[in-house]
Amino acid sequence: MSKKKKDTANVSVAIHKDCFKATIYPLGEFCREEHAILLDGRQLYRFEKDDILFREHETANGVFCLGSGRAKLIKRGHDGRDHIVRLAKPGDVLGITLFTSATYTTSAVALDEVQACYISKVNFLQIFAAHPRFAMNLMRSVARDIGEVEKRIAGVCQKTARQRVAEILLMLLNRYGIDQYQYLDIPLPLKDLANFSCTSCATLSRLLSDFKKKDLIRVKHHKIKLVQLDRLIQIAKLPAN
Amino acid sequence: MSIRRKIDIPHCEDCASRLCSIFNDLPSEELGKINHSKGGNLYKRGQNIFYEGTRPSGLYCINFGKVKIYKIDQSGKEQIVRLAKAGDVLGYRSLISGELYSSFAAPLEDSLICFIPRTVFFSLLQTNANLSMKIMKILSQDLKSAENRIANMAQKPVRERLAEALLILREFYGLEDDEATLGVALTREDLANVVGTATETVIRLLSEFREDKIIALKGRKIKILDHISLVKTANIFD
Repeated sequence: MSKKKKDTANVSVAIHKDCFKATIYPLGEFCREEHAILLDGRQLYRFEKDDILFREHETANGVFCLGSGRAKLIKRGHDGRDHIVRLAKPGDVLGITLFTSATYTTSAVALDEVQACYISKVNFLQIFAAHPRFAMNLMRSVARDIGEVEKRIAGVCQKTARQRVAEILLMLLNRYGIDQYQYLDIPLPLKDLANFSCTSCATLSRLLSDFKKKDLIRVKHHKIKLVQLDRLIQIAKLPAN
Repeated sequence: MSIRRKIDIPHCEDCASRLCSIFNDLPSEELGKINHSKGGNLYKRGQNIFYEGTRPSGLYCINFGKVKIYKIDQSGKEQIVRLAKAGDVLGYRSLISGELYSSFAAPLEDSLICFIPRTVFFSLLQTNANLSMKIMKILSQDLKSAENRIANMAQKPVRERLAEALLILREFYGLEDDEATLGVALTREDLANVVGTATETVIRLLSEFREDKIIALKGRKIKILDHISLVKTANIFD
């Protein structure tokens, strides 16, 4: 049973307040009042940490547009273990594979408190067909997501765990930014971080304490602060730009 | 096989691969626009179609041939991220996301590939919702298979991944006339790069499959003898 909570108090409000100012969201502008094409038929939901937005193999009846909070997208392997395939940030549209798949291809789980708009498949496809700019923005954001996953696929085969962990830390910085104390602003437990970078927990802890010893990062209450970016970039062997 | 003679680039209306392309139901006026602005080239094995780190200036569309899209690491080792066949488009991901190419593309065999300039493609996307929907479907499919692959990489043993790769190749490129031989003859190295493992491992596992009478090998050609066992080995559940 998914623990969806419809936020009745907020349904009358146009949309989550962050969405208004967020021009960087791929679909942000379409929720603004001047061209509020997304507003009809959308429902605002609130999820607590660890709540499930949707489950893999459930019929995909619609997408969730993340207003605030973070979520992880996971797939269950045949051995019963979950694997994190992607991390979502505010502005991302989840469940987008409904274009080709009748069921959700991943599960989505809230990492912290999430507010998300649910848009039904029918409605979403109509908007897509009627508004080329909306379609273009959506395609651009999905194309970027694919790029990121493909980069990680290549990383698993081509990079050492050490390079991968450094790369993932930089990716998290890029994607989620830092909090007021300059720690990575992502509520990801070590277990999840290990999973996401395709290493074991033991290897990840060893690498993190190695990075810590060399003063590349600082760790406090499971939160990580990147200190020497240039050296992490070097370790990840990313082109410096 | 090297082709030295001059190749004629067919009109889009006469393109043999048009029916399996995203442009299959484009009105002839719009198809004419593409035809008018496109260029084309015959690419041979060893040549590259595009390079990582360069800026996309248009969309590639395969008239005939097979193409691999791959990344290389610091030491030059390849990892194939996607494969393409006649009728497929190439380079759309970076073109749409507005990024630099994140991969290389090279033909697996002689391939005739047309090139549609960026402005023409984007103006078609603006006016033709049907085309946008098709591109979105490709992207959705790519996202799904990339997610599947990353989940498999971390979890599936190489043996299962190789079996799965053979099934994917069968699905994607089809079979030859004998209804058993894979329609694509990859080198062992390319196959290893699809699976994401060492060439020696692929060679060892292929001969294991042969001993188990699951496949037969003849040079680069792979013949699937026992499809059911192969599916079982691949451990596919969806």
